[in-house]
Amino acid sequence: MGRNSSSFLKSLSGQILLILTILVSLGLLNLYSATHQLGVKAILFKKQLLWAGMGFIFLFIINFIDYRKFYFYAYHIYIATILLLVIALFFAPRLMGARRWLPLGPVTIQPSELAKLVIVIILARYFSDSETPSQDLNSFLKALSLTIGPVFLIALEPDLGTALIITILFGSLCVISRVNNKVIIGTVLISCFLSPLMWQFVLKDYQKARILGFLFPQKDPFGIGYHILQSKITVGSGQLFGKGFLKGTQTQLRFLPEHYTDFIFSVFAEEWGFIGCITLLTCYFLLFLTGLRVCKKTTDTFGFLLASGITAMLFWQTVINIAMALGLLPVVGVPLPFMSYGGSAILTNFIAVGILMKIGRRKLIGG
Amino acid sequence: MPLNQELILESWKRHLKLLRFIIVIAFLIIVFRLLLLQLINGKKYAYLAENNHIEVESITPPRGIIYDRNGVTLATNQPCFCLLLYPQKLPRHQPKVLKQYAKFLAPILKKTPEEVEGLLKDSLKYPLRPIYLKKKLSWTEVTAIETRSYFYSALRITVTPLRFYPLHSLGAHLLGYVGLITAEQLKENVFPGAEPTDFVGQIGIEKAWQRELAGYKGKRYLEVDALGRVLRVIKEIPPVPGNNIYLSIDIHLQKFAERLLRHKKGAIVALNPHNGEVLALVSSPNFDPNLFVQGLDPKTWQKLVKNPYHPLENRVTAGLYPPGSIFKVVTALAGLQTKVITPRDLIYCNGTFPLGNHIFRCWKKGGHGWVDIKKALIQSCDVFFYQLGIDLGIEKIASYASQCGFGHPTGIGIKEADGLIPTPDWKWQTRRKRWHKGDTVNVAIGQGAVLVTPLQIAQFFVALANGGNIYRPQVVLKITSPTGKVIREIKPTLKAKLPISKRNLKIINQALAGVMNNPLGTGYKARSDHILIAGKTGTAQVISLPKKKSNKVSPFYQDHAWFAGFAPVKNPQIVVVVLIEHGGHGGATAAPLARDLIEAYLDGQK
Repeated sequence: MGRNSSSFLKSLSGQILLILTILVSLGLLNLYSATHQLGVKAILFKKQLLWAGMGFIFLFIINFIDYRKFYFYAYHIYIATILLLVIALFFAPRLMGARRWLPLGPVTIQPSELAKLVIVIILARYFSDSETPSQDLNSFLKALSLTIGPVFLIALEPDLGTALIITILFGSLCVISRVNNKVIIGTVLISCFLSPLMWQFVLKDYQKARILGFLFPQKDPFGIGYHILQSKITVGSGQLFGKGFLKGTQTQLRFLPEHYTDFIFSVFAEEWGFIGCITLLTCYFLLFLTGLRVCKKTTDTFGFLLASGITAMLFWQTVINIAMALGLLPVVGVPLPFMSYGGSAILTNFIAVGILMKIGRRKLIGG
Repeated sequence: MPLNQELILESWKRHLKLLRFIIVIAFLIIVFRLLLLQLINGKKYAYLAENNHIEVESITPPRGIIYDRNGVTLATNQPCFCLLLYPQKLPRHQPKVLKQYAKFLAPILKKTPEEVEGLLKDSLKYPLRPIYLKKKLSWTEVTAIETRSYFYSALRITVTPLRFYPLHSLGAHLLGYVGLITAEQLKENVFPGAEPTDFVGQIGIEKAWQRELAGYKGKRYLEVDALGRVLRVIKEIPPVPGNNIYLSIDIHLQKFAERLLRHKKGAIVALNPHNGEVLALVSSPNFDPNLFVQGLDPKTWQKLVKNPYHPLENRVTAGLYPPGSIFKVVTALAGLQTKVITPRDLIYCNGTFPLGNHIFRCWKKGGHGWVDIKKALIQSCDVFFYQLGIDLGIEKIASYASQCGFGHPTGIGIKEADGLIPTPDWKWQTRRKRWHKGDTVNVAIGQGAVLVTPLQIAQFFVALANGGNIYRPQVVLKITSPTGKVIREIKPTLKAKLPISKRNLKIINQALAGVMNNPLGTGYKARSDHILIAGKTGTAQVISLPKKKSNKVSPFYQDHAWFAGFAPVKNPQIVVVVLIEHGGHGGATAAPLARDLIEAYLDGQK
């Protein structure tokens, strides 16, 4: 038994599981600190605990499913997700100004979170069907048409953060599966050309204000710049060792809004300081590198694209969220994997990591 | 999957290096940023966090003003100095300082220092929930607190627009009141974005129109020091005041009606028969809504809740009573419309009506002799309606009653009761007992399990008065912006038509006029000397009393007195329903009040 478990820890999926457990534990501790004083909202911690437990169960189940099943059912899953997005958009009750949440019995689910993973699956299937190592304009446009529907539906909710993440995932998978460089450069140029139109017709006033507030924070430090400034103060005041668990003054006194979702990293940085941050970042870094090692070991194109897509999904969310909390990017609603509060997000991430582990395990046994 | 997979895979895997490069770069940028924020500039941010907090404070908008139909103010706001406690700023680990707080606050709160200390300790359970320690501070209290504010940073004085009802109890049941948001309401997020110090409408118009009245909060950005003392106001976003509401009630008529009910328990409601607008709505006894704004001490609250006469209940919309003889109008309507009886049919009343082994009696001992439907309504003959009830059967009575608006809410918009029209199904489901003919006999004269609200009766009489249109009783006329611009006008809603032909309605209205103007009519003694009134009296038995000879009946078992009517008979202008709880005979106690109210209204209009 002891030998078994030690060999399991040496395996890729064992390492992933270990890192994941550390991340989830840190995340729960941190969420407790962020919410325990909020009275009514203190229940969020218990809910998250439940979600994490369910996440581990999902992880376990996924490890019994051949990941190639996702290849065969890719289009079914894709269409079901689009249906969910449509239902959320047209029938879900409006909460906090957006139609993102679908009430499902005692819980509400957020189909847009699920869509992140589903886009990875469908694009992995699409590109792995390709006969050539590099993709031409035609196959790029077909992949684009698969992506644009969900992005559009999610942008309408409105949930620009998720729409952005999905677009970035699409870009990442295009680069990995070698879409013609000319096509990629052309697309980037066209989007640069289109962005003023986006600004004019697509972005809502509050979204414009966020971008302006990021570009010119000194103009309105107590309006839009408030979030960014407060987040920087929160992170910075943590210094080397942090203020200690449950002792972050910025967080506990609620100077920082949205601190249990989008700004959860600031809470952690304030209480655990630079040392804590480096520890947390190391965990994430190791998770992504292990993900890449799984990619390297794959022997089929679908498995490769799926593993790299999942790694990219976790990576971009982590980096964008942290960069936003540190004032490096404008405020967009992207949760930090395994740290932010949110049931659908945590389940999606658990399933994603489960698939990654499965791909890693398969090769180990097979090889 | 394609056959040349391995070739493709090899080509793609070469890109993994690029991915790794991106990951490393991204993490390096983040680590450098953290170095800059936490180590190089860490001291500066720590200073900012500890010494230079920015706090955001909500500014409560003034609540919308409520007017009567002529613009008389019924509910407004008074800016008051309030003392708030922010528990998170209390020095929880310094019991000495806590004691100092208690000593300082004791004379202001008129409590002992020990009580105050307990209160302070309790507040620490939810440190982020500010508490109103006292509202309406006097000037001397304000100066006393302000001069010591340096030592007591957990205390703050705010200027809050508090709700004020200048006419006190007048119209209180319709207006409702605002009170501090409750813990349950906060928990269940009944009012999105609400804070623990908010006042929200708890009943009546204040509750039903909370969203229009509340307005939008403003924000104030404050710079405070480490002890929470305000250094300066950085920026202020002003609040948006709530919208104003014009009610349909006429406060002069309301006042007159309340005076009529003084020292009585009961209800009066007056509607405009052309559109269902509520002109007056009185429930007695009443209460002063200002008490709820200031916060009730437990003693006063208990007194209000445990009062056997239930002053908080709105008897007009939520009070359930047997309608008594008023219901005979419904039975008569059903009889005529189903042609079970014609206007010419006669029934003999000898004062008794044997059914099975039970004898039902007419209220008039000797009986009424031969009566037709008009006479039966005018003299309120029970035996006639016993017979008609048996001939109709319970299903038809219940169906017509339901079509006349009984047994379901009127839709007035404030809390109301459904009422009950019993049916055999209902009896079986609730009591597991079979329906008897005796039950039908009771329902036919509005006794038994029949329950109605005064408002349902008024809604029915509006339709009788205007030729058959059932309007939804309406209390709000229009909504205006704080500057007085009309935002929305509320039009009357025609819900349904009375299930009756023009000819039969005319017969019933003639009978209702006879009740007041025929010397044999039950309301004749309460007739007006210059206005023709039509109506129906009712005397509803509370419980069936054994025939006792003593006249000493406890007031709780005396009959309820009803009157419902409209005037003038030609072109009606007002519908009035009066209910006096345990008032005895409707003709003797309720009808005169209705007459006085009708006279006051119609004479005042001239």
